[in-house]
Amino acid sequence: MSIEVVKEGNLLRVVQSSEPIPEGEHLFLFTAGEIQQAAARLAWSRLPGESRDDLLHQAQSCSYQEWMEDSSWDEAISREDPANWLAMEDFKA
Amino acid sequence: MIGDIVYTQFPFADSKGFKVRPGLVISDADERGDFYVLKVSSRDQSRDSRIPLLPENFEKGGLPKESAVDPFDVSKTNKEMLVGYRGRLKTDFINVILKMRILASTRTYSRLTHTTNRPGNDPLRLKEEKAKGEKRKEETNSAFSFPLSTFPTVPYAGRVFTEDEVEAAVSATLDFWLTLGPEGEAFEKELATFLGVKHCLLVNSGSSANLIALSCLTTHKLPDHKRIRPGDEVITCAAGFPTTVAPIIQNGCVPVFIDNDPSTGNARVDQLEAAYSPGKTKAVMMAHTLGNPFDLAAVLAFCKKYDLWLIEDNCDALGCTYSMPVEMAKSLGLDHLLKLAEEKSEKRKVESGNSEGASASALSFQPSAFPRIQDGLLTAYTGSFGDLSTQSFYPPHHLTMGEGGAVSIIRRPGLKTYAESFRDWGRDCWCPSGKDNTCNKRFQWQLGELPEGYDHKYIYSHLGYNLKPLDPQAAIGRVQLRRLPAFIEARKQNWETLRVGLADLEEFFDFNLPTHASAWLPPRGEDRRSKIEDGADTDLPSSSSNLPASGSSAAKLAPSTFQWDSTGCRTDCSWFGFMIRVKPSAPFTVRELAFFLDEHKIGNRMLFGGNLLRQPAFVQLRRDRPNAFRIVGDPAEDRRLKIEDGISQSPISQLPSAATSLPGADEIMHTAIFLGTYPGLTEAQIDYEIATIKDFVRQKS
Repeated sequence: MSIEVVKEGNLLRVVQSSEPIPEGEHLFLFTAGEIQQAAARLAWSRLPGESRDDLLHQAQSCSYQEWMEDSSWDEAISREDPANWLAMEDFKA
Repeated sequence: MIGDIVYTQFPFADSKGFKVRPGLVISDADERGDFYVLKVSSRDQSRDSRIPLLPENFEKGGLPKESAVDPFDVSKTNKEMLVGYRGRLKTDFINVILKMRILASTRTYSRLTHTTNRPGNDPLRLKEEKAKGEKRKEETNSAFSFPLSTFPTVPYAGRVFTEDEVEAAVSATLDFWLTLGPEGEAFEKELATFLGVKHCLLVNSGSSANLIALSCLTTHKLPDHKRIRPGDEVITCAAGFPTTVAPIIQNGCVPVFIDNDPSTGNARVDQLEAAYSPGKTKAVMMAHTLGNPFDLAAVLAFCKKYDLWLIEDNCDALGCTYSMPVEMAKSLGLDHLLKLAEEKSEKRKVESGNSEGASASALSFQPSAFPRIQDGLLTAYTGSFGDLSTQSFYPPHHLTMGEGGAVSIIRRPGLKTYAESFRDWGRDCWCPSGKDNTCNKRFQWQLGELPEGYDHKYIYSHLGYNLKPLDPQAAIGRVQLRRLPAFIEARKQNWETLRVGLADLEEFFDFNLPTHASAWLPPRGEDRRSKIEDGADTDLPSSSSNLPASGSSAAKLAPSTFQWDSTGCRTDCSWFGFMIRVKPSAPFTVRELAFFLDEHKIGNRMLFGGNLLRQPAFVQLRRDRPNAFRIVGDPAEDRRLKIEDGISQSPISQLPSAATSLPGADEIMHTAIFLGTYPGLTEAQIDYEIATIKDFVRQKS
């Protein structure tokens, strides 16, 4: 279930919900960024250990860290609508 | 797939977070799903090596901001980490990037692997050899007790190259044109420009070049009086390499041998007149021996007098120059060189007045300084004086493309078509590889008894060959040509070092003189000499002798000075080798010297086939066909003719050896060897050669 809310003072107003919201249950809200991180972590957990080691090893380099710190990419990607991207099923790794 | 741009989650170094970044896929995924991408970064993070990714470079998709990739900044990722597929680059564009990566790796590989093939004065090579020498010293705890078997050889010749040549070869191989193509075309033009000739045609060896040069003069397309036909005579000389002579016989012609002058190794031009047969002699074809030009003034005058072709076998002499008074050049009809010299002079004036011209990089192609007129002398490269000339690019030669050679069409452009035809199967069509209908009437020819309109591509005017090299070879040759000026200088310098170093052994040896020189003038004082420093800092054994060697370990030697003859002509040799002749009075033979040098791993060679007429092939040829060749001054010639004509019944085998009338060639064969002068020699290697020869002489004296 996904819920879109908006903060109004100390309250969160539900703008829309994909399903009826169950009464009396605690709901945990995540930001889009957190969801992305969670998805990444899930993908990361599925990688073979050797792959994870390789990817972390390269992360030590200066050029890699500079690349990751270039915030202009974060802004550019966040402004994009994924609906305009090419279909993932067309990508053959 | 390779060439795609993807968004991928990349971990921070502590693996506690991830960021989406774009990457350009440059590999397929492995079994774990890992694959490599180039990091796509902001365009404004500009570095020289980054290549911008412009909208026109995309086959589909794109990126939301101006981006670039560094072809060498690679990152690994995994299929699981993909979040988006953002675009695909055009194949041509991605190929450029992939090629850059391969070529960079190629250069790294070659720098690491081919150190000993670098020029003798290359810092990287000297550094490695010094390190090796020090290691050996440590291992043996002595600079003097190395077992000979552990030493590297001192080659007489070899390939000299760096990562530039290897990169060129790999690049051309990746293009996979394979047959002679764009690199070949460019090399032919550059070589022709360098030499100062109309055209150069690449072939697969110097021997093939000689075959093509002679064969193309047999074409029926030449005027009858100039066409070389079976039975016609071609004057050549006796000592040298057999494939200078073989094409004459292979074309059904008769080589007429004149003797060699042992002091230069070249033909004795005083025998030319005696070799001439009215109505039969059509050409002179001879080599500039071992990088020493033959007497071009005399040979050209002879050819002009009798309207003969001159084929210069320049295979061992690329970079030699020959100078003659301008008036003499005019009288010999060398208008093509005089005109080119004037053009170059004008160009130099313009260039010197325009000093803001961009300076050329070390490996950019530079037109040569020759032909040139200075102080009343016309100076030009050998291989640019006659009608045709040939080059060899086999590894021991002045530049290499592996197997390879070239035919130069010096002044009559029409000969190019004939030479090309013999090189390319004998075809009449002159279209370059991959092109059609250059003549614009491909299907409108009627030649021979073929039906009109028969495809010109498959019309054969000659019984030709297929003697082309490959395009990657030409790519190597182009880089080598850029090194040629430095190679020539190194050969001269190495000859100088040997000559000065062995100067005090003239009691035992005769040393070659450049043609037209009557004496070598020893350097004054001791400033051009220095002692070998006991083999220190070298990868070579120190000689067991304490004789001071004269090869310079440090100072560059000034060019030799010579006393010249009265012709007004001069030569400047691009030495193929350093020829030593053992004097009859010496207490040792040339064989003993050669054996000693071999034992000490110093490469040495005879002057190729020596007196060729003593080679089994020629002895047998004479038995099979007594008139297959002629020798100037052959005392048995009359008897041989009678046997051939059936007038005499004496068995051929009872004829005296034909070779005996060639004392100069015999002397070279019995007394001469040569050492290398090639640009891969280090000063330490040459010093070792000098010290070893002195050691040999000391032991034998």
